[in-house]
Amino acid sequence: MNDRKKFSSVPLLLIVATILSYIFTSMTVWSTDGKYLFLSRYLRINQHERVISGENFAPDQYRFGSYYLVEYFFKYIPIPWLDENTSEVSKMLLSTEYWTDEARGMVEAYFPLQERERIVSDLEMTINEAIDRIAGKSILLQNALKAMVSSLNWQTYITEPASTLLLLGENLPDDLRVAVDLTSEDNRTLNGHITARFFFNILTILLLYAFGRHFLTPAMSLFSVLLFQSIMPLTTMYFGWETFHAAALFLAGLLLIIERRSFITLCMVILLGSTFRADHMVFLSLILFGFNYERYSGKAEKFLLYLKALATFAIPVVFTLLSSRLLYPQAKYSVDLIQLGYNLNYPWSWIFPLLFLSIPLIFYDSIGEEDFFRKTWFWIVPFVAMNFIVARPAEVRLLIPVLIYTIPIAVKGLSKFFPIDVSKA
Amino acid sequence: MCFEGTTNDRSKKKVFLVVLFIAIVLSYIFTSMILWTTESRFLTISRYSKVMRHREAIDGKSFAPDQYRFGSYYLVEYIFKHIPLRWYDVFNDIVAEGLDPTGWGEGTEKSVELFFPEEDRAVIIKEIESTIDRIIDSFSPNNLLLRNMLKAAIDSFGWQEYINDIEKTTMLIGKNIPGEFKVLIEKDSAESALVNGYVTFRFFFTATTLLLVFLLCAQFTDALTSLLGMSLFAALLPMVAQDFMQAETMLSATVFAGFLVALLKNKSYLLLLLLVLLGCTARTDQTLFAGVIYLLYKVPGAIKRRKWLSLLAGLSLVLIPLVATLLLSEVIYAGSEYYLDFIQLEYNLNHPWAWIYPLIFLAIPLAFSPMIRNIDFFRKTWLWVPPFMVMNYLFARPAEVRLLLPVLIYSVPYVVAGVKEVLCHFDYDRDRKGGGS
Repeated sequence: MNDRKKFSSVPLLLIVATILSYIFTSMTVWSTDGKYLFLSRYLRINQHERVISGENFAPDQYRFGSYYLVEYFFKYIPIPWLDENTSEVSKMLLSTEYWTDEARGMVEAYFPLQERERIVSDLEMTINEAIDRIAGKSILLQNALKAMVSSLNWQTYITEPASTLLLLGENLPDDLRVAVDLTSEDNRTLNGHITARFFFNILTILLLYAFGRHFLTPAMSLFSVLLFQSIMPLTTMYFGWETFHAAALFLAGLLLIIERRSFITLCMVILLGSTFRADHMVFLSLILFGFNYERYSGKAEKFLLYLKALATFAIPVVFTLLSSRLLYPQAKYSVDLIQLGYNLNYPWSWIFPLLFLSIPLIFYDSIGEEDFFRKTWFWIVPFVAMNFIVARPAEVRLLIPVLIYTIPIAVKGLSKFFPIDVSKA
Repeated sequence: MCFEGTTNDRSKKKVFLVVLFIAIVLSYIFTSMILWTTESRFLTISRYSKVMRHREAIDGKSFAPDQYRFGSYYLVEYIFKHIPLRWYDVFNDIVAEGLDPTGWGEGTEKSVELFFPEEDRAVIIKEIESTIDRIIDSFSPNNLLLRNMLKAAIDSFGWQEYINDIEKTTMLIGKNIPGEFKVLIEKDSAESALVNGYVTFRFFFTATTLLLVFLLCAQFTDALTSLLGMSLFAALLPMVAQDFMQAETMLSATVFAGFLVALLKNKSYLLLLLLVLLGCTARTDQTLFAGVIYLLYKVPGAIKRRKWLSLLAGLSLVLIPLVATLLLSEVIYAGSEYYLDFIQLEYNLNHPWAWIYPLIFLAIPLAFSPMIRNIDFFRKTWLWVPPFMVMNYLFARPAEVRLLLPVLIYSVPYVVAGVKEVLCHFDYDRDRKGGGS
């Protein structure tokens, strides 16, 4: 049969991982980095600079790993990312060549002249009122102001968008200009963040496939990856810099635990992961503990396991303490620490997590069938509780560890509904 | 060994429920995501333009070619507007809260302070000040008195305060915001219901498209592989998010996928005809190619067996969209003007993304294209793809990959057939836990 084989599986996986990551990453550019055009770019660029200089707010400042990766590495990989709306407006503001007849026609179609004229006359009235108020009784000042205002020819700014936008572009404050100019060094940094996201998305997909292979056939493991990737768009309303970095390292930790690889490597992964999201990494210690607890009967072995669990627990905790007390003691929290009250009163805090985890929830009953899940699933309870108490789970990206941990078992449960149980193939 | 199996009725029902559930979850997710990239992209402005566009189209005054695709506007106007599910859009919520005097808690203020600190604001104020000075100087270079008066007058506006005190500014904006914008921000207005109606419309037709993709795959392979095909399709779908202003995309996808399923299941000609008519209210160009697929699939056999009626039936499925295009553009909406040049080839030749994006979007179907030879239906019909692509490069902008959705939908079955071949062989090679990436 093998001689008839046309395609092979490793390239298939790589193609699927790369294409899906490219698509997801591009989509986050439109939904997140390019949202509100330059305002989000400006805010993101500023945030990057503040983190690198250690002045950002908590807890983002403690998650400096992704920023340094960009500053010293990903910034230099120039994969271009298209953001059509942004680049369109950027050209409108900065390039005279943009304004062809076709471009003018498009503005005309979307924002017809009559509408613009109405706005002009509304504004004229408002300006006259304002001048009267400021100038009071001084006729000289009143006339001077009116003359000045009309010499500005502001009406043409509205009736002729082309020249207005170019003028606006010319006079942009430098801070904003670097966000508007897509070729600027600052936008290169932003691009680096996007490239990093692309890279870690590929890594997440490959690791998720490898994790799924412990319980599933290749086809079903691929299915779990596809399902994961089509659920992920729900995270884009709030998409953090480090989301995929943390997901990949959490998965790496899971794999190391299930394959019983070296403990030192696990510690290194947890340490690295703590520079992205220490709060996720902490829970690997519970999984390590649960998975190995019944395995050892001897006192010494059990003691060693306690030590290991404690060490993996301590790494992210100590890391966070160090960053908040020593490295960045000045970083302030952007929101209150306790969010439970907010969550209780906010219906989306319940709807979105339920939706995000709905497929694992429906097919949860396979958990009992796999040794690994039966022994370790309990970590989900404190993890979810933590997120409802100190975070806002409507930002479903916070729950990604639960999704990646449960998706293989959900797929296994799901496939049982189908005539042939492929999980036993 | 891999997927094959027999099906009975009870398990069929269960399978259907599972597939329906997943289709609904995935389309809810896709729809919400498109809401964030489209209707709320520029906050209230995008919502405003959606409502304006809708009203123009209902009045028959929108521009071409959007006006010709009136089906979706009417569906929203008469059905979906009245069942507006609530959709979560935190950015619109923030605007609504920010403009509402009671909305500014301590938390909001703190967030503004952290994301846009005072020093940054001071820098911007300074830059604007020097720009104003430059303008005043150029206006009255010699008259020192006038210059000072003007500067004093502008200062008396206290505009710096607007940048410094964001809360006060947003409140002021909130008070003065024109009514037509305010209704878009308020969640209970008719305008918000309209926007939500569009989102609900998309949700419904995304779910039907996903289900039909599943059914389409199921014509060639087993149920579980078909579900894999459906989620592959759902995972590739976010690529359409960049250019998604047009309402008809998922309606047209549903019609196209429905047509393929009906054709493969040998459903009545009447159903195919109705689907083509419905498709003409969404996208005549894509519907035309649905007809072409019918021709390619059925006509060679019909000619061999000298069934001239069947040939006529096939030809009419192609003719209807052509006639509909003419009627719509020359008779019904003769007044609508195109807002883009008709021929877009030159733009596409000079725009690298017009090549990169379609390649990425269709990379997986392309990689599996050798599978076309193995399956009768695809061997007979694949010839519609080249002219469809040529049409899109000539008259449209394929960087907007949603235009290529018909090709993706059509390809999913042979892609999953190929995936099955790869991974089942893989399965023989290694044991269950031996694999890895």
